[in-house]
Amino acid sequence: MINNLRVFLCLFISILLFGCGSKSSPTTSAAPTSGGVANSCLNAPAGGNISLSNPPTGLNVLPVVLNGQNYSNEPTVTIKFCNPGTNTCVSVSNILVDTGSYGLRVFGSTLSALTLPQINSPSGNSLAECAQFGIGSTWGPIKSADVILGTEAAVTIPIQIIDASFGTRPTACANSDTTPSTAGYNGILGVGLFKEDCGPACVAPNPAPSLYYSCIGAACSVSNAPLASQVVNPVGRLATDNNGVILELPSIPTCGAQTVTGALTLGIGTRANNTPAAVTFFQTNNLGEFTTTFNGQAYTSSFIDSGTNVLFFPRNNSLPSCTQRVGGQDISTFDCPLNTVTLSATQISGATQKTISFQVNNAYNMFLSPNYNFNDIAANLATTFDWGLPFFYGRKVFVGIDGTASSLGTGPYWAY
Amino acid sequence: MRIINILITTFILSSSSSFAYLNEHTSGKRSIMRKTQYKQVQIIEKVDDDGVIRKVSWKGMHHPELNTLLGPCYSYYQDYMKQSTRLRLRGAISIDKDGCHISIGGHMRNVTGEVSLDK
Repeated sequence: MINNLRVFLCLFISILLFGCGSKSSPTTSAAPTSGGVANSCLNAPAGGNISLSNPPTGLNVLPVVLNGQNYSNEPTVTIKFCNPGTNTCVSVSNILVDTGSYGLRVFGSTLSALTLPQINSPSGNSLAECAQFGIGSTWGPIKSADVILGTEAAVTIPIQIIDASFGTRPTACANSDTTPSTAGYNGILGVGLFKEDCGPACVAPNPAPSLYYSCIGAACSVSNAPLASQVVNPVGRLATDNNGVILELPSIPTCGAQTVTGALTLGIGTRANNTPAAVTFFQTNNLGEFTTTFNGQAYTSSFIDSGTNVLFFPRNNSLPSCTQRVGGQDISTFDCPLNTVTLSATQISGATQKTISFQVNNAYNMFLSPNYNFNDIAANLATTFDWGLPFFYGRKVFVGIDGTASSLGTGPYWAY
Repeated sequence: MRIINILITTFILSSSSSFAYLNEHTSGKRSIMRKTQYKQVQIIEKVDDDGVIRKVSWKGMHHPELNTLLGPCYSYYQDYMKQSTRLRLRGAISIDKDGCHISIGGHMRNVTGEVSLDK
């Protein structure tokens, strides 16, 4: 009812102002073409529930669900956790699939039926971590667990138990996730390009970054962490299927879909269901980044991240921000073009180049629609091009883990 | 004849156990860019001709302590982090409010940020 009222008000105001999304139409210096869909996504119909037409099957496949239960464009899977070496297990759903991080993290509150052994710091105390993402952080101890992905054999690995009450949270984690409901997930499955979340940078004698901590009671201090104790990408520890993953999502309509089902397939070229065909290979640098050129600028630290829920790129005055509020909240970071805007950017790795065409629609109108998942939602970020979840719709994206080989090449790489 | 003032910007590179913050008044050189290595984060501070740090950017394994570094802009960042789960952007943020311009993003192992304050 409230949504209907908002749509009506928006339509009414749009008649007065020639647009619900902004005060002026966008100047599209970055847009070689702009579409003619007036009032982009205003009164968008329900986009339905969309699945892959030919989903992969096998013990190395995890269904990926985007149901908008918590927020838009959130790909989630279910993972089984067990006490090491036992059949005492719990399945935890709503775990975010994140190609922009490395390692498995889960709220301790979801594992209350388990007793997982604590991993110690080099000084013999409890090892904890303030894991940091592009935005946001998770705090809690590192414990050992048996983890089952799909129906693969269990792997025993260090995972982070997200627990804001553990020890004393360092300042760097002052705004860390505290509960599944405020975080919007029960955990994070970091299946990006690297095996460990920190890697050699956290190993002595390197100066310890503010990531791992050694805790005695409530007192925690920055610590090194050997590779064997670091939180790891569980895929890298599988007996087979350990050289990467494929994240595949179906195409969805302009202005969104209600729910989407895709697949996370473990391994690249290790089985019939993960054999690459006709893909473009992008080697990354040692940070997992490549160059994207957009609007005449080269962004050398761009990356592909399923954990980012929009396309982030520098607006450079080419797109208007949203001026409305939703539920009293400022949404001005989002782009709100009056009409559908078609843009393009080029991904570059060595001699390989691929130009990606994409659309941006009015985020405010999309928030008012009955849909939760969008391939055309974007937001402003001055510093780089972050190819978020919308990039994955209609694509089969291969994520090659650093130092592992497949028929495509040696990681770190992306291919699609 | 039009007089052109040329601002000579110099880089000073140092390693530090602490870092300056946005809007801090400095007593050292003015109109410079200071590059500091703080733990495994590279921080660049732009000191204006009035001796005030107007812009700070960083890149590295983790974010610096934002409550210090963002100075008077920190409250906008905190407000943003309190937004509802449904509307909060994931992956990065960009805030332009009352002269504060904040962009924070990146990915694990290489997080980045840039904050500036209008004069």
